[in-house]
Amino acid sequence: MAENILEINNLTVTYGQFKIITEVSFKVKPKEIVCIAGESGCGKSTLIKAVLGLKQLGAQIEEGSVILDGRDITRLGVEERRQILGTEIGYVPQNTRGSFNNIRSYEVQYKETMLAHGLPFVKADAIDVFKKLNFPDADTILEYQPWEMSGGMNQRMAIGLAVLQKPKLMLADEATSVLDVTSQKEVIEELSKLRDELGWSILFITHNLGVASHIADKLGVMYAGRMVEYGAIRKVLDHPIHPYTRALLAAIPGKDRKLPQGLEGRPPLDGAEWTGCNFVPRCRFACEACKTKKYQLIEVEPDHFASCSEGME
Amino acid sequence: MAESKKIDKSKLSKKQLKKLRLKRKTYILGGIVALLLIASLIAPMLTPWDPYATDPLNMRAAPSAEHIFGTDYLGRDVFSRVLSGARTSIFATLVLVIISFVIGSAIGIICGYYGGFVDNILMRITDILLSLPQLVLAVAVAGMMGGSLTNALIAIGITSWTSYARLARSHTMRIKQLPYIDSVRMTGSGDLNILLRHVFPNLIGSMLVNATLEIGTTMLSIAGLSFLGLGVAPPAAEWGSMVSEGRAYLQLAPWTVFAPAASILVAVMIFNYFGECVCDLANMNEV
Amino acid sequence: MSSAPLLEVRDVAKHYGRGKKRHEVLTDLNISLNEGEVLGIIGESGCGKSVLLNLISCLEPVSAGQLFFKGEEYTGKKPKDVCRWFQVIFQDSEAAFDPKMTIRQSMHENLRLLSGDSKDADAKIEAMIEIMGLNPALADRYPRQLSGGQVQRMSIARSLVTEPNLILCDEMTSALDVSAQAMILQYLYKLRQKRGLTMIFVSHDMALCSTFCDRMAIMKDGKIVEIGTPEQIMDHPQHEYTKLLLDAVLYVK
Repeated sequence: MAENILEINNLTVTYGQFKIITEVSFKVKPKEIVCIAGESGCGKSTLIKAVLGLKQLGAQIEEGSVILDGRDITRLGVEERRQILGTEIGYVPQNTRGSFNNIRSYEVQYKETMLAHGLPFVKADAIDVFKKLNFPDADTILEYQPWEMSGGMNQRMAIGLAVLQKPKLMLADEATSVLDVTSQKEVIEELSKLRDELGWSILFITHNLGVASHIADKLGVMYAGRMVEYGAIRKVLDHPIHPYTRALLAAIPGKDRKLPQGLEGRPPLDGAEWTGCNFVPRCRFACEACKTKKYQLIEVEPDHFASCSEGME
Repeated sequence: MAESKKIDKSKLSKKQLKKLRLKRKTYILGGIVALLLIASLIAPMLTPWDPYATDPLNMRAAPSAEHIFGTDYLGRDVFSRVLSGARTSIFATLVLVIISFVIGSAIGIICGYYGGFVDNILMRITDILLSLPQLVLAVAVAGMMGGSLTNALIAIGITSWTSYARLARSHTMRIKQLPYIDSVRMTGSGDLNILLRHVFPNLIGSMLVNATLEIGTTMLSIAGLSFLGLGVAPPAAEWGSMVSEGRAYLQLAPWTVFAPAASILVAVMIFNYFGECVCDLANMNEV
Repeated sequence: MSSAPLLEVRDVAKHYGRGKKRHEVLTDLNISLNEGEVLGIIGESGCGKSVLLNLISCLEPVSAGQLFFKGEEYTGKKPKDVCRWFQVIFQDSEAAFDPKMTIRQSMHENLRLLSGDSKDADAKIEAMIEIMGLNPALADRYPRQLSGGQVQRMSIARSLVTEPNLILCDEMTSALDVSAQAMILQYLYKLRQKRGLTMIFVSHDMALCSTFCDRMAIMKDGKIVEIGTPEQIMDHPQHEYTKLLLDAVLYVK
């Protein structure tokens, strides 16, 4: 196994005339959960699609590379891509209602998916996995059909299916944001457990730093196609440097029951192409120099990078 | 997404390019359709000969500079007859499509919105009508009522509204449970206002697509009935009845059959192709 | 008159189906809400909180129980009788606007149907949009041309422009980013201070409700299991279910 499960180097993605992601680099090490956070439109979902393959989206990888376990998968053909999806890269989508056929039993769909990837389906194995994940009625749950289940349980079944395929890397795109609070917590605990017990590496996308703080080892904050802050979770959350990271933190309702502070406006569509800092229009601390300063991630302390030094004393 | 006014083609994604091409194709086809409609509308001015004037000296004449499609067994100019037949064929089709569109949509929207007893009755009726082969039913009905254009239209119309009704019904059922309908209801708006202003405009797109796709089929049905002598009665020019008339002289004067038959073929193809383009374009806009 | 609560829900129940298919959604529900109060209703999906809003706004009839508005019973009335009192804000804000109408047209329609005259409609609409912190020029766009947060603020503006007595919010912010959600709360908070606002705020997010509501009701399987001020609920939960929900809240660590 290579040193890094996933390596994203200097990735730039364009859609038509728009850049959606500019020069994003980060690594996912084995047994590590990396969270990428940001508002909708910041490019975080496109990042996941770049790993999964962008074919249907009309987006294009302009520059940079995506390396999965030592193998460059940036420009794989359709057939090769299909082979690594599921077996090497697992995916838990946001909307699990859409990922299962509502009126066929889980067993049929599990079997079908496994066979499609050339993997054997052994019912006992699946039940084993369910027991390990503490599913209720682990023995009989395969006979149910998705419509009989809650959204949270459906999401966990999708995770169960991914576990069976034993991928090297798990991608989760807002996997908890449509769930109820209790199911959200269950799914998050599930994913942490998978990391601890099975040594999974997970790339987790979310807009909620509260969720991220409970699951991630590393946290990246994206804004308008650029990574504005990246580092070990405790360092980023305890000493957020970039004004945007701090704005995201202030927007989460806290234990003190103070009204959360919002952030007006939305990320510019073409923000990735700006020469200066693209957060300027929404930034409280912006000055003239910010408009022209070239974007660059600076190491503010070991294992903690930010593209702005505003938050440093 | 904001679109700059000048479109730089090299920078467009594949999907946008495809859409641009599709749009152009639809416009061109739309132009041809419009041309066809105009031509059939002013057909009497374009015909070089009187389509009903017989000429005993010039029977079954082969195509020449004078009669470009030749003449039929009574010496009538086939080209003129095809042109004036276009008027009957195309306009009868459009009238039928529009009438069944209106009636079908109205029934479908009412069924979908109110549901319940009325919906059950009307939908069972459409089920029954859909279970019978359309043309056979039309032949039976037209046969009972006697051959005339109006009767042929009624005979086809009996079944043709059902497809619109089903489509409108399913769309209405989807739309009526969207939150915006609830929020309109919370303004105390009446049902008629909801149906006309909020439901209908949101389903008309896919209904129109269906209608353009139906034009070809309907045109064939009318020509079919006329061919069987159940539609337009001779000597009135209509493509189906012209094929039927010329059939007996197929070996002596094949042009009397080919000209109207080719017209049917071309017209149906143009309308179908146009319908498909509109359909693709509508789907693309939705994604 | 003034002593009667603005809204009172007395022993309300709702069930669907008959005989064997009978399915209880709400049972013996009691709520009373005073003018100027914001009540949070917290529960997970399927607990019947959206149905409750439909019952209050007469979009669905109640199966049993009574509804009172300012002390007068209005059980069994139609939406058009109560639409001046209540406005509903939905979770899917984009779907809450007719996609074929601009925001302004939708708002005009609301004003026309609810207030009759439309002399200064444009001024009213634009003022309200400005209160929600948006550029009035955005009113001429179609709902799909705005971001989720913007449409949701527009739908709040649309609800407020007709000056209803009570606003019913159904998971208003749960489809939005945290920053857009916080923005909406800020504007609602300002509005409350400026002109008073009575709201029922249905949500599954306890932390969010605790920052904004005067009282919180915890709902489970069609029943209210606990009701109290945010302090009571968050600091001294009584019911097991409340504790379970509280435990699942993911604060930033």
